[in-house]
Amino acid sequence: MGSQGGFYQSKEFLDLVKSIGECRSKAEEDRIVLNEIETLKRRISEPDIPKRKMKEYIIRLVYVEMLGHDASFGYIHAVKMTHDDNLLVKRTGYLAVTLFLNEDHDLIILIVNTIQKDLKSDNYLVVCAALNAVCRLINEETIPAVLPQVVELLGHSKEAVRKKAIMALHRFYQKSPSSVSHLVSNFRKRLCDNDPGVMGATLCPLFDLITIDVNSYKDLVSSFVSILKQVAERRLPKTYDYHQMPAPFVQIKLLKILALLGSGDKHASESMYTVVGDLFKKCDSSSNIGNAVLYECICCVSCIYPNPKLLEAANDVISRFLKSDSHNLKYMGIDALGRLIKTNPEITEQHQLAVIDCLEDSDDTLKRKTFELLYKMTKSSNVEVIVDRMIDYMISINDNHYKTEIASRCVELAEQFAPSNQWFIQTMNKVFEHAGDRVNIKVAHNLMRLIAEGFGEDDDTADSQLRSSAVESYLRILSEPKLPSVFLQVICWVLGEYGTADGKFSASYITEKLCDVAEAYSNDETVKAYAVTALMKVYAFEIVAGRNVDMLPECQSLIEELLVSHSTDLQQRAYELQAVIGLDAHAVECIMPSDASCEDIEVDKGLSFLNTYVQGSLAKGAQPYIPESERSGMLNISSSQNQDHHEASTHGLRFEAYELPKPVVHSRIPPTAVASSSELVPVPESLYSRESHQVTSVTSVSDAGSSELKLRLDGVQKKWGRPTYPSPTTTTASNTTTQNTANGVTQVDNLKTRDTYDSRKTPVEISSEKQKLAASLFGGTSKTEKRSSSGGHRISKPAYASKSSDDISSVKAAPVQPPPVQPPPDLLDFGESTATSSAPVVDPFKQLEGLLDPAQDNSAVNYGATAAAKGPDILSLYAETAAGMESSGIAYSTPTDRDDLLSALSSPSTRSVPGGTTVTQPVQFSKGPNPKDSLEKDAMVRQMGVNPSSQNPNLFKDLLG
Amino acid sequence: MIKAVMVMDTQGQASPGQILRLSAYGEAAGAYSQRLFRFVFLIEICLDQKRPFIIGLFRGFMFLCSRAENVSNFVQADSIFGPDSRLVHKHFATLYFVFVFDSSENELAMLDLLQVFVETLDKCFKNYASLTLCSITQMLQMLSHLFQSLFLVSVGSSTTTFKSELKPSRILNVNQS
Repeated sequence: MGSQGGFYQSKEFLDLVKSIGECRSKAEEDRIVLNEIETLKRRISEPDIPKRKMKEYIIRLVYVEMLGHDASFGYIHAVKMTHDDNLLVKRTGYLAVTLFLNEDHDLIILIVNTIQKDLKSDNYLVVCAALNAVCRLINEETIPAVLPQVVELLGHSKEAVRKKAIMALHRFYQKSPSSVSHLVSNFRKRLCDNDPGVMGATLCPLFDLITIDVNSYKDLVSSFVSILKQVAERRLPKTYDYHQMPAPFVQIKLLKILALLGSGDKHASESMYTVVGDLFKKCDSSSNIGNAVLYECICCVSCIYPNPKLLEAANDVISRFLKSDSHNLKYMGIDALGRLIKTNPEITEQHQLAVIDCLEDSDDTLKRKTFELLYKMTKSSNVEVIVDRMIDYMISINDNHYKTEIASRCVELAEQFAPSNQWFIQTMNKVFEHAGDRVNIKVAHNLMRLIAEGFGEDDDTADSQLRSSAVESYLRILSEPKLPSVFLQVICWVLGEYGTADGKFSASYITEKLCDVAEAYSNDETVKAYAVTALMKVYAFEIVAGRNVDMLPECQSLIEELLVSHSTDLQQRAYELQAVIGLDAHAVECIMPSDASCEDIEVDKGLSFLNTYVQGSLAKGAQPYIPESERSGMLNISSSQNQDHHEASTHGLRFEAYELPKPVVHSRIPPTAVASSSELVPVPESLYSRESHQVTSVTSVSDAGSSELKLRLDGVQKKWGRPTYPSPTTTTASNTTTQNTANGVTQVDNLKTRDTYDSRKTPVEISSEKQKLAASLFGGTSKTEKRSSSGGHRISKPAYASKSSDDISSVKAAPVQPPPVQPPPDLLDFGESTATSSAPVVDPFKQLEGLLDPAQDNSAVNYGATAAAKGPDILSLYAETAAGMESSGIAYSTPTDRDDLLSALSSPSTRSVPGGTTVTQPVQFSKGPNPKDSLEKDAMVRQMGVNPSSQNPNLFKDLLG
Repeated sequence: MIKAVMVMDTQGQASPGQILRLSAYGEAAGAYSQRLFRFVFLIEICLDQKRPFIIGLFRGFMFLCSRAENVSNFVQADSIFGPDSRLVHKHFATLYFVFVFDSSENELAMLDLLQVFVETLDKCFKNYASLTLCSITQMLQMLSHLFQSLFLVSVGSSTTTFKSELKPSRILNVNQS
C-alpha cells in the first residue's frame, strides 16, 4: 500500500492525517483542523491551481468535513471539478460533491447540467460516475431532467451501466413513485437481462413493487422460479459464488419475492414447491450463508400455501438450528419457529426442550427472541406459565424499554387468555408491583373495573370471594416497602370499595392501612387523594351499616393535615370526608351506596332526567345555563388557579420524574367547587382543559347511583389536634394468618408468600423443572392435534428413531406418573395454606428427577420413534386427566405445573376475558367545576328551600361541591 | 433495508468518556444531520454532544462493549435506534463493525455481508485496522464503491452480485484509471 500512498497526496496532507491520528484530545484536533481550514481557504482561491493540486485540496476538504467541521467554502470548487475532462479529476469531483451536498442543496442545480452531459458520454466510466451522482443528488424536482437519459441507458452495452441505471430508476421510484410509474415495465424487461448482475439489481425494485401490489406480478412467478432454479443449479458464472454458494443474495431476494407472491395463493405456491424443496436439499448448512438461505427458505415456506413436505423439511432445518452450538443459529431457529407456528401450531412440541434451553440461556438476545416466540404461541392452556415466566424475566432486567414492552405483553396476554379473573388479578398485581410505573394507567382502570364488576354473571358469592381475596392480597402487598404509584391507586380504591365489604377486616384496620399509605407516600398527591377518598368510603359504609365511626387518631391527624394542604384537591377531599362523617346514615347511603361503583358508568349526556327540574326552574325565572366555553371571564380565573395547583403539586419531592398523574387526577379527583372557609377566592379549581370540564360537568349531574358523590358542607368544620405522633407501621404478621378461606384465597396466598418469602419456594432440580415447564408450555395444546402430530412423527422422522429404550421409558415415565399423583393432594389441600398444598406437588417431581436426567441430556433427541409410539398414550393420559378435571368443573389445563394447578383449581372454568375491551373506566367522575353555575344553582335552590338531605344528591353535589 | 453501517474503534472501550472514533453510513443518519452522515465518514463524538443519533451510536457502542463473549451477533436495537431496528455486530482486531437494519432483512445474510465488507477492506488495505494515513482517501473512494455495489447506496437494501463487483483490484483500477 505504501507504494500507492503517495500517488496523489502531498507530504503536507500526509502530515495532517498523521497529526490528526496522533491527537490526544478533541481540542488539539480542533486546533489542527481549524488551521487546515485556514490554509485551504487561502490556497483554494488562488488562481491557476494545477488540477492535480486542486484534486488534493478537495480531498483535504472532504477530510475536514469528515472530522465534523464546515468546509462549505470549498463546495463550489468541488462542483467545478465535475466539469473537468480528466476522468480521475471528474470522479474525484463527483465523489466530493456526493459527500458534501444533499439533494436539496442550492448547488445541485449547477450539477444537473454536468450530469446530463456526462450521461451521454462515450466513456462508460464517466456514465457510471454520473449515475452514481444521480442516485445521491437528484431530487424529486430534477428527476424529469435526467429521466429520459437514464431510461435510455437501460439498453447500454455495458452491464455495469445497465445496472446503475436500474439502481437510479429504483431510486427515483423511492423518491417519487409517480414520476416513474410508466416505466415500471422496464424492470420486468431487465429481469431477463443476459447479465446476472443486472438481473439481480432488478430484483430490488421488483421486490418493492410486489410488496405494494402483489396481484399485478403473479405472472412473474414462473420467471422467478426458473431464475431461482438456475441459480441453485449453479448456472451462473463462478464469480458469483460466495463460500461455495451460488449467488446467495440473489437466492435470498428471490425467496423473499416468492414468499410475497405465494402468500395465500395455492396455485402460485404449487409451482414453487419443487424449487424450494431442492434448495432445502442443496444448501450447505455448514456455512453461515448457507444457513441464511435455509432460513429464508423457511420464511418462504411459512408464507406460501402450506405443503407438508416442505414443512417437514423446514422442521428438520429448525431442529438443526436449535441443536447447533452457535447462538446465531439458535436465534434463527427460534425466529423460524415463530414464523412456522402460524401455519403449524404443533411444531413447537418437537422442540420444546430446545426452546426452554434458549429461554434459560445467558444470551439476552436469544432470550428475548424466545419470549417473542412464547408470546406468539400463547393459548389459554399455557398462558399462566408463559406470563409467569415473562414476569420473572421482567423483574430481572433493567432495560426500561424492554421492561415496558414485556409488561405490556403480559397485560395483553393476561387480558386475552386469562383463565380466571382471580388469576388475572394476581398477574396484574405482579405486573404493577414490578413495572407499575411503566404500564398504561388504563390497565389499572381495567383492573379496578374487573374487581368491581366481578364475573359479570349473577354469581354474587364468587364476586365477593374475588373481592375479598383481592383485598387480602392488597393488604399484604401494602407491607412492601416501595410500590409504584399506579398500583397504590388501585390498592386504595379496592380497599375503599371492598375493604370492609366481607366483614373480615374491621374498618379501623383498613383505615389504619390507608392512613399508612397516605403517610408513607406523602409526596404522591394522587395516591393521597385515592387514600382519602377510600377512607371516606370506608367511613361512609360504616355509617350506613349503623356502626359507630371511631376515627383513629392517625387518621384524624391525617385529615387535619390535609385540611391545610397546599393541594386544593386534597383539601377538598378532606373536607368532604369530614362532611360525610357528620351526616346521618340515610344521607350517607344516598351519596355512598355500597358497591355501586359500576352503576354509574353509563352517562346520560343529555341529562334528560333533569329536564323537568330545569324546566321547572326556568319557569320560575332562573337563568339558563351558560356553557363554560362562553364565559371567558371564568376561564381566566381557572387558568390562574391552574398555575396555583401546579405550584402546589411541585412542592413535594417527586420520585417519578416522568409520570404525570394528570389523567388519574382528572378522572378521580373532583375539582373543588366550593371553597373552604380558609380559601380566599371561592372559585372552583378547574384543573383541566375545557373538554374535561364538559365531561365532568356532565357526569356530575348524572351519576345518580354513584358511590362517590362528594358532598361539601360549608358549615361543617371540625378541629383536631395537630399530628404529633407517628402512625404505627404496618406489620407483616397481621397478614400471614388469613389464608384458609375460599378457593380464591389460596392462590393469592401462594403467590404472595412466594413473593415475600423466597425461601419457601425452594427451586426444584433444574431438569425436572424444565420438563415441567416444557409440559406446561407445550403439553396443554389441544389433544387431538397432538395425537395426529405424534403419529406423523413416527412415519416421517426416521432420523430420530435411534433412541435407547432407557430414554424412552424415562420420557414416558415422566409425564405418566404425575397426573395420578398430583391432582389429589391439590384437590384436597387447596383450601389450606400454601405450604401444605405445594409440598405434595413438588414431591413427584423429585422422584422423577433421576429418570428425567438422560432425557435432559440429549434434549432434542427426546422424541424418538418409540417415544412417538408411546407419545399418544401419554398424551391421552393427559387428555383424560384434563378432561376429568374439566368435567369436575375445574379449569385444569396443564397438569404438571404447580402454579397452574393452584390457579386453575382456584376458580371455576370461567373463560371470560376480563380486560380485553376498553370500556369506560370504573372510576367515578364527579361533579362539574362550574363555580358560577353552581353558585347560581345554590342560590336558586336555597330559595326553593331545598336542603341537602333531600332526595337529589346529584343536585347537591353539583351545588355544594 | 440497511439503516446504517458503523465502524467503531474499540479504543472507546478503555476510556468511554473520551473521544470515540467511528464511521457511519446510512439513512438513520439523515435524522441527525444531512451533511455529516450522508456517506462514509469518520467522525468523532464527544459525550457532551446531545445529538440524538450520536447518543444512539454511543449507547450502541457502550452496549456492544458490555456484551459478553460467546453470544449471538444479533441484537434487537429498538431502544437504541428506534422502532424496528436490529443490529449485527462483529469484532475484528481493534474495531467493531455494526450493521443496523430493519426486520425485512435476513440476519444471517447481514452477518455475511458484514463479513464480506470486512474481507474486502482487508484485501484492499492490508492492516487497515490500524489505518495508516496513506490509505484514507483510497479507503473513502473504495468505501463509496463498496456501498454502491453492496448496498445500492441510494437504495439501502442488500443486493446480489457483489462478488464480481468486489474484486478489489477492479475497484482500485477504476479509481486510478
